[in-house]
Amino acid sequence: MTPSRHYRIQSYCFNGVPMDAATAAGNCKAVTDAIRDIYAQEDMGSLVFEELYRCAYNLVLHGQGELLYTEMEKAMAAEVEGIRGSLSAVADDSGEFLQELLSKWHLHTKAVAAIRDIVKYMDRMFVVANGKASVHDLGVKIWRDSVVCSGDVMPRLVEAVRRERPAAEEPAGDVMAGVDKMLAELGDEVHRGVMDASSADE
Amino acid sequence: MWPPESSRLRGSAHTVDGNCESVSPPVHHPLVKYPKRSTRSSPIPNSPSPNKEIEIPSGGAPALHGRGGNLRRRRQIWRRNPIVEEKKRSITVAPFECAWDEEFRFREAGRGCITFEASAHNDVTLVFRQQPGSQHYHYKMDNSRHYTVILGSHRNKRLKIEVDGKTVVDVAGIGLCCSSSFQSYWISIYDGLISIGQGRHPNNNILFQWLDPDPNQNVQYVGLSSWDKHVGYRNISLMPSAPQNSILWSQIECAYVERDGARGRTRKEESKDGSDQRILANFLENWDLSDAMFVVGSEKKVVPAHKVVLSSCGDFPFNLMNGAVIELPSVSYPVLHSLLEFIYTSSTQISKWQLISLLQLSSQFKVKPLVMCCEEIIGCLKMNDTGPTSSENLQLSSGGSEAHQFDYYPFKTPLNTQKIEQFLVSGEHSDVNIYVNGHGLVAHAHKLILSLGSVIFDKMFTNGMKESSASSVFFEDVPVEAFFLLIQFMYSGQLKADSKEITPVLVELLLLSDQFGITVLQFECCKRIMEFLSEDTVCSVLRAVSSIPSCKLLEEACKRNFAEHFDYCTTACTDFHVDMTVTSEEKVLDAILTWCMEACDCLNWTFVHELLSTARPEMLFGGRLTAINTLLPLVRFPLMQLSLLQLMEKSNLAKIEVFRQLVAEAIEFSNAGLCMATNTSYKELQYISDGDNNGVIYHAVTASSPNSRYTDPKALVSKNYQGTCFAGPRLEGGKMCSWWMVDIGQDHQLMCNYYTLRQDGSTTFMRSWVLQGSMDGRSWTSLRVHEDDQTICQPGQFASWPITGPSALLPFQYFRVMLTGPATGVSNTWNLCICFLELYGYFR
Repeated sequence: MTPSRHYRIQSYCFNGVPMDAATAAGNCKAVTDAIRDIYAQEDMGSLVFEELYRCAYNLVLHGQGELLYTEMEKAMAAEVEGIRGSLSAVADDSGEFLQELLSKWHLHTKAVAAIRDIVKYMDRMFVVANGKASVHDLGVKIWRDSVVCSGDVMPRLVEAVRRERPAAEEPAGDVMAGVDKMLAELGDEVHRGVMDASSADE
Repeated sequence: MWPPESSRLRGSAHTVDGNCESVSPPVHHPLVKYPKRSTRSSPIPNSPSPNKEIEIPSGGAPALHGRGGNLRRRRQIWRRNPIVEEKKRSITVAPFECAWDEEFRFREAGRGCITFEASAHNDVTLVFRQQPGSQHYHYKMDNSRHYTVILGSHRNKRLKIEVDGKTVVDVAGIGLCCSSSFQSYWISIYDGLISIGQGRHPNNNILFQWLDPDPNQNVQYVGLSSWDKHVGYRNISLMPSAPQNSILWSQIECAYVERDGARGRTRKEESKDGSDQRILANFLENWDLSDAMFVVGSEKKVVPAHKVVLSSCGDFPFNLMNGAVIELPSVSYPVLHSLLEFIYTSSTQISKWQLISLLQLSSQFKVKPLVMCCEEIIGCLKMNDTGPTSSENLQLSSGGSEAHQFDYYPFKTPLNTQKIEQFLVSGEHSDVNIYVNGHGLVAHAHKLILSLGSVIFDKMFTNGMKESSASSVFFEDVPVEAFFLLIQFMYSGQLKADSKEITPVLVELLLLSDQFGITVLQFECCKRIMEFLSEDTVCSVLRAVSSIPSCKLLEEACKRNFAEHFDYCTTACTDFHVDMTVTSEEKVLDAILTWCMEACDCLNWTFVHELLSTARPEMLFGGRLTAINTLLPLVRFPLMQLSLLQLMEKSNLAKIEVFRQLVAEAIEFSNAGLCMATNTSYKELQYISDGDNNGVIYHAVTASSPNSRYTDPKALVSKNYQGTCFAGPRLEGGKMCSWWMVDIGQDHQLMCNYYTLRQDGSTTFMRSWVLQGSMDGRSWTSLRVHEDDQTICQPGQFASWPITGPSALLPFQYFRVMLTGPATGVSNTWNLCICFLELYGYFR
């Protein structure tokens, strides 16, 4: 028991030393800013993965997983809300609407994948330990609830699918195939709901 | 070993020597919370207890579990979530039942490892399946796919493995159970490779290994089950599995080849989900991270490749040629594809008529294993010329001949591992420079190799952010030495730190491997740390790992070590290390004071004593003053030396009311002259179930005493059910009382932490009674007080209670159950109607 063997691992004494609120908020902001940039798309190259991953890692390590998760969820929801707004500006022409919806969906899935990479540590540790929805599932859920199933998109989607359908009876067009795939990913219920509704009135 | 004469058991109706106006029992802590069954925990009014003088602290300090009589109970203090940990701690599975829990789940389906301790007569049974079952689940009635491992089947004679109800392994004489003590086992499942071993450390002491030809990739939940006897489980931990047995490597590889098709598909789906670690085969003809390409055939098809992979298994002319393009106009694409497939996945197929071209191509680039493979097949074909038609596909495989390669290491034959390690040293073909801020360049590395080692690096280099296109990557907040070891591990698959003790670097590396998701390295670090864990290092490690959710096993091990360091020494080795005992308890006190004062450095209580000469406790402890009332009773003052106690009594610390009481009590105990345990050879007898064979009475006591019609002491310890068996009442000091007493023998002592009673055939149920212990048969200490306890309500019923608090640490020779109030019923309410008694704890 010589003193020399009692080393300390200074920088790693986390226990009982929670991150102070300012640092936590700063790290969170870095992540949420990045989420905004990811959705803006042009800016991916300017983001530094190492920095973002480290921010998220430190937050989870210091017991701020809950904060990170809720902030991330909020940021994603805000971006998706913006997308919904932009969709309502699109003309009612069915082909154009579906195309736009689909391209936004691809944008969203790509963004979710990038976000998941950044907060991977949270996905592996915090999400598993606390039984939360994984980032991927959360992305799907947000899209389903605030875009596809929202009051102003759903009727237009059903209408557009109904109009597109007969035309695409033989080989389903690219757009229709994409929409079909998207709906399938959102879950059986939505998929069946849209398909039933669009064929019901025929 | 046990002369019957030394052990006696008497019903009180027949003894006249019992003097119950006893000397005060030595210790009785007021802050002992009993489990739910007992209705109240205050001392009973009639009990001759010294607690009358001791008031329960008015601060209303929350009751805590006392520092219990065994290691496990005590450890709870150090835990954050006692409810979850409690489950982990100890589980008893009744016959034909099965315990499931979200905790008992592999993180990855089909792969995982469980370590546990078990105590049973036979049939320690573990079920592995996709979904958890119910409490009454039984593997014999399960229609879904599952694995069952039975240790000690056939009356503890054989080890059995069943797959979906069919016995596939049945071997005699290994992996048997032990009913007298807990044995450690581990079972690992990895893609159908089931390994069973003994001890705490997976992959050490393998007892048996078996590979399922049709692996069940879905098993994820572990059920702890039994057959016809109770099985006790404890210290259950789940962790990732990493098969390391090299002998089985070739077998595993065969299994991989067999179901290559199906596997390839699932791989792809997983990586679409983004959660999966890519393997080298995923990079075959993949543009990700590629830095070289072939232009092949007359159609000039472009095929991407990776220099570092190609160069590690052959001689590709990247250095001679300008750029990284190799043009092969005369080679057809299928031949090149075969070559690349062989390199990236270590096996390939080719049509017979293209074999010669493949041989030529592989000779051109000096891919020796493939050259040898081709030549061998050509030789075979020449021997029996009647062979397959020219269009038939031939299978080429590098085989699993190199036994040193482990599953987790991403590079297999034909890749040359030494060359890959060399690339890290030389920086040849490097495509990324790794910098650590504040230190500078750490390594000229290869994105592909880092990506294969860690999914985080993979994402970093491929998800389109800055690092994906940059040639330099900067890391912040990482310790350089450990970070380099991490990189080295990804190249070599080995941890190149050969220290024989826990160094800070090892702990840092553990944290880094967690940060970057390198499970294998994390596992390796955990293993090393556990191997060298000592009381000197345990605190540092514990502080570092307790924040990491994936290090539960290590945390558990640290806590165990921590608890043992304090606890075992103090309970079992009192005389052995008198000084150490004192130091330990003193240290506990110091630690509590330090924490309550929110001080940075560890304080000595004498220092606090000096502070208290001028300051009042409220000033010193501030908001933690109430905490000190809660924590101080956890210090086992009775174990300290009398001289020290007397010093403490006079110190200013006695200003703290709780402290004064505790010290006074301890001194009283010390003066009562009861000797503590005098030797170290305590045997642990753990309670498993009502009426089991683990207790002291079964273990050691034989009764002899004059019989009468209804009071047969032998019956009480015989384990046979007795319809009528009671101790009659008598007057002792003017009060009614009746009791049963057990004497476990002159040379024996028991630190009792659990006891079981059984009601006889009558309906006279005891309601208020007390279990007491004594060293001399005259002065009694109450171990557990029951007041209006409604537990027993059936004739012949078993009932068991734990003994908590400091009294569970005191060794006694005599134990007695004494009625303190009338039992139920109309007549004979002072009859103590029990026909069975069993005691558990640390026995000597």
